[in-house]
Amino acid sequence: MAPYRHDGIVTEPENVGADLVVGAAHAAVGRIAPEELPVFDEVAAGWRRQLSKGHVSWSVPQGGVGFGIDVTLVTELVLQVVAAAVGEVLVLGAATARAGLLRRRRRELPAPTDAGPGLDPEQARRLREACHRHALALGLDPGRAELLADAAVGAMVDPPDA
Amino acid sequence: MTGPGVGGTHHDGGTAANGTTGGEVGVGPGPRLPPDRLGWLYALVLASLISVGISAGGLYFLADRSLSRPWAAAVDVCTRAHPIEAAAQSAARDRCLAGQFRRRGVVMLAGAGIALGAAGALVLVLPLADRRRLRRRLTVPGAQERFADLCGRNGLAARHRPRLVVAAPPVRQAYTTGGVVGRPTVVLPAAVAVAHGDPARFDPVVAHELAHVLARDVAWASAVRALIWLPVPAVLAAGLLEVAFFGPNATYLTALGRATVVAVLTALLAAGLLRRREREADRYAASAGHAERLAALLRAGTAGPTRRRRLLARHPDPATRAAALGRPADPPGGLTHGLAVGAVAMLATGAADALVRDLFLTAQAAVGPPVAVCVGAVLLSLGLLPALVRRAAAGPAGWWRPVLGAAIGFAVTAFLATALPVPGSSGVSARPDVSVALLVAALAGPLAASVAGLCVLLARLVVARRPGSVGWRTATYLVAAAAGVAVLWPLPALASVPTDGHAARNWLVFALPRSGWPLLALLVPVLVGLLLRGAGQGRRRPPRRWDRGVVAAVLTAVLIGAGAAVWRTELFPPHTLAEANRQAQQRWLLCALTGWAVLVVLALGRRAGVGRALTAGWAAGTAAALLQYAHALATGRADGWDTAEAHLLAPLAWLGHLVAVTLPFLVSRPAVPGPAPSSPGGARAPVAAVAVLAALLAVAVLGPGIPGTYAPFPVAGRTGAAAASTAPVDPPAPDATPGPTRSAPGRAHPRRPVTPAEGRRGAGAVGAVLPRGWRVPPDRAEGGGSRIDPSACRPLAEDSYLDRLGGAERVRERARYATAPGLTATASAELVIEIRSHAEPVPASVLAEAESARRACPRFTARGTDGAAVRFAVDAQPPPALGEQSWRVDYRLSAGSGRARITGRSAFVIVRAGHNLVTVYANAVSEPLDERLLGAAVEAAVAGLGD
Repeated sequence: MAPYRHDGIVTEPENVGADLVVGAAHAAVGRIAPEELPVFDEVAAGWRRQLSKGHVSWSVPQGGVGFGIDVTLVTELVLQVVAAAVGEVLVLGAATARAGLLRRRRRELPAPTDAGPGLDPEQARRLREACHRHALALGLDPGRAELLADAAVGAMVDPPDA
Repeated sequence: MTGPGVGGTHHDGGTAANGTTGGEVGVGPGPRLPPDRLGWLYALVLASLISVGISAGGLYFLADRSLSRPWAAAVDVCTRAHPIEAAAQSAARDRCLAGQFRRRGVVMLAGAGIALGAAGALVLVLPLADRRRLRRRLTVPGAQERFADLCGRNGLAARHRPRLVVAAPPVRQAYTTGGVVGRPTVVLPAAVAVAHGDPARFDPVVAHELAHVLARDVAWASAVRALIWLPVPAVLAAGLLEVAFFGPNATYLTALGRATVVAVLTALLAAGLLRRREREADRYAASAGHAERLAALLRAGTAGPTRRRRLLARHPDPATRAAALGRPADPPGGLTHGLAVGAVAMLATGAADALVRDLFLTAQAAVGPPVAVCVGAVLLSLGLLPALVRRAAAGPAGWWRPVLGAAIGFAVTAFLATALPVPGSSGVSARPDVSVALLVAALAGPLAASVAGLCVLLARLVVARRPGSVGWRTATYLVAAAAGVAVLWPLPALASVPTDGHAARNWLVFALPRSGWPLLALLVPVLVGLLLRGAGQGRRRPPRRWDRGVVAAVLTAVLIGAGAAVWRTELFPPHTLAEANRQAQQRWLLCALTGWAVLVVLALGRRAGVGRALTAGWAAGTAAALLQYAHALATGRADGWDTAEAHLLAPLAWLGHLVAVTLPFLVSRPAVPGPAPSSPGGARAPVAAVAVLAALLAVAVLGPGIPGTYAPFPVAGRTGAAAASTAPVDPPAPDATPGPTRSAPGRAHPRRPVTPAEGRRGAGAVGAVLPRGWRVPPDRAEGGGSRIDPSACRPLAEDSYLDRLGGAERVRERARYATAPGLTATASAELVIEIRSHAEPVPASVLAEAESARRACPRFTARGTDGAAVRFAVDAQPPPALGEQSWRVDYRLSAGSGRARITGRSAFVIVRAGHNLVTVYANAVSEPLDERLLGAAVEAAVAGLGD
């Protein structure tokens, strides 16, 4: 799989998993929330920073005079959905095939080295199912969850720069 | 701009109503009122915060043993010397206690200062913390443009426009932050900012936040939101630490309970303020045309707070908020509002009373009640009136709700404050009594209801007659506060009702009219009269003419009331002082009831509203009082200012309180007369009703009398006699009569052996020199032996130099005296006298050996069987010049360490006289050793041998 390029950023090989997620998320956001594309890169960069720190903090600051209603950026949700789905389908599958053991790494998403430029139909099916399931779990309505899953898997099956 | 189909619903921000007296805005477009600034609620939070500080200061004072032990010792010593039961000695007792109480007052004041300082620090620090969280910002140019457009529409242009910051995740809520100076900052989460092109998602949120900016309370809200979590944990932590270190203590637990109640109420009030503030912002956003969009956003929102946190939540749950947007807003000043105002007013009154009593103990009678009552009246009236004015402007509303709420809040808090008294206040002792607290609450509640009823009347009148006039509204606030002082003035006297009803009634009859404060209530009829001359909203000013029916009713009542008073005095002139006193009170009551009858009849009838009924009642009562005073002047029964006070001020003070307690029952009646012209036929009904009611009242007063209204002249000694029956009974000292100290200079001391009877007499003679508060304590078992360290001090500590005489001892008589346990059981003193007589003359070597033992031992420690250690530092004072030889050793005692250290002084005196030895041991813990008493005791014991 070629390194993911977006806005001139060329990632290192060890971040190729994150690149895969961000690339797929970018495609999905473009489908279901295009108005967020102007801030996508900044949000994705923040997500990468959080990822490199070892944990993702989604806690809300205590704005004591807050509006009272959480409004979540779709980009946030999509990044989480795609990351969870990729971790579940591709990383676990690759690691199990390689070592037979469940490997947990906290620092970063391990690169799915066995994953080729495209996904086989079974992987694509499982990835789509996982994306859809995680999207519903995070509160997206079924229609947008379908759109997200289709867009994300489509981007991974046929990467934009592949 | 707004989206299709809704753009027209927006109003230009510059044309917003001034919001002073306009109606409540419901759903949808309409005149947009700026959000209520809730200044009254901030004032209540501030008052309760100061109360928390005062309570916490008192708590700290009690917890810090270095502060509270001298205070407790002073309470014991001063109340021993000047018992609480001796009313005549209260001034001397206060002088004795003043120093230590002032120290506590200063600590309480410091607590209030720290609480205010902490709140100020929160105002400064929290906006900085909010800003620190905004390091990751996003750039969304379209959002900035749309935000600027919305600001302009809401009248926030140029330097008034807040800054906009688009925050990156994880910020998910819009909020507004800012310091005392500078422009506020509206923070939008990226999800809202990117939707700047969608009015349904962007505009309602921005309008809600701009409402906070318009309310100009962003910085204050920062402090309030932290207050929710500060007072309760701080008070509980301090209290639990104290209990953990020193164990439970009734006095301390009482103070802790009081402070906790204050802190919890403050936290709930702060949370209520924030919720109210958010509702106001929602209301503003809805009035700006975003009701449907805001409701949609709220319905799509995440779940609200859990039930456990609902009381402290800053928002109602989203479904409730959305539902609230769909119905007309509740008018302000409801039951909850009344509850909060009543509770905080009583809290602050109690705190102010405690603080002022401590700071000015010797002048508490002159300073305490005015300060406490003024605080309560100002908070009650200014807490209620702004909201009641808005409620009146909103149209007809249930007026009993704020009145009932204020009464309940005031009464419940009065109950808690009485049941959990500030230790050391209210007559020094702190004895929680539920029945007393219930009675005080039952009396305090109606007073608060009276103030609330007065506020309702004034609010309705000012809205009806002078809408939109800031000057008249300000005058109304001032008069309400002043009249509130007059109404609440009996509040401090209520505390004595459960313990001494006679004293309370005497105070109401004889002291209340003389205080002058009730005269502030006279401002009410003046203001009401002036307001009634106004035109009213949308109506022409009525022609200035008298309503014949009202005038006839007033004249009828005056004729009957004043006539009855004069008739009684003329036909049955008093022959004794008691009769004169009774007749005077009958006249006062008749005049007051004359005005009250006019008020009730006119207010309940259709001819005049409550406002006109009130002025008519005042006129009738005043006229009746003037007439009977004129009669007294004409018949030579009145002369000088004192009689004017008695004849004029007393009836007016009584009338004022009658009017006040009646107003809560008239809140549902119209405040102003209706527009229907009065007809001559309709004038007869109120006149007849007034005549009948005034006549019935006159018959009741002059005939059987109204039970409980007559107070005979106070009889000196009544209080003392009543108190004596409830005073704790202690075993009396042999001769507890205070008398001059007997001295025996030059008297021959018996050198011969004394008999047991003579020994008992000598030991017992000390009882005659003891001051008040000493007694013969119950016998106690001798404690086990203490371990003395170092062992070289054992001869001194155990008096073993006297043992060599033991074999030849013929008589050994002992008497022990001790101070009665004080209120705090902290300070105590003890005297032990022993008379020993021997077959042989006591050799001088005994005292020489005692002196050797003293010199050999500079200090020692005595450890009891329970491990408790008392340290003794040995000292010497000159012995008394008595007998053939005398000797004395002194000890400075200490036990414990640090701030919990207990100190004391002891002295042991031996007088040798021929065959006899007189020993006197004096001990004082937490109070100075009384050298005069010790000298007198030694002298009396020695002299007693020779009598």
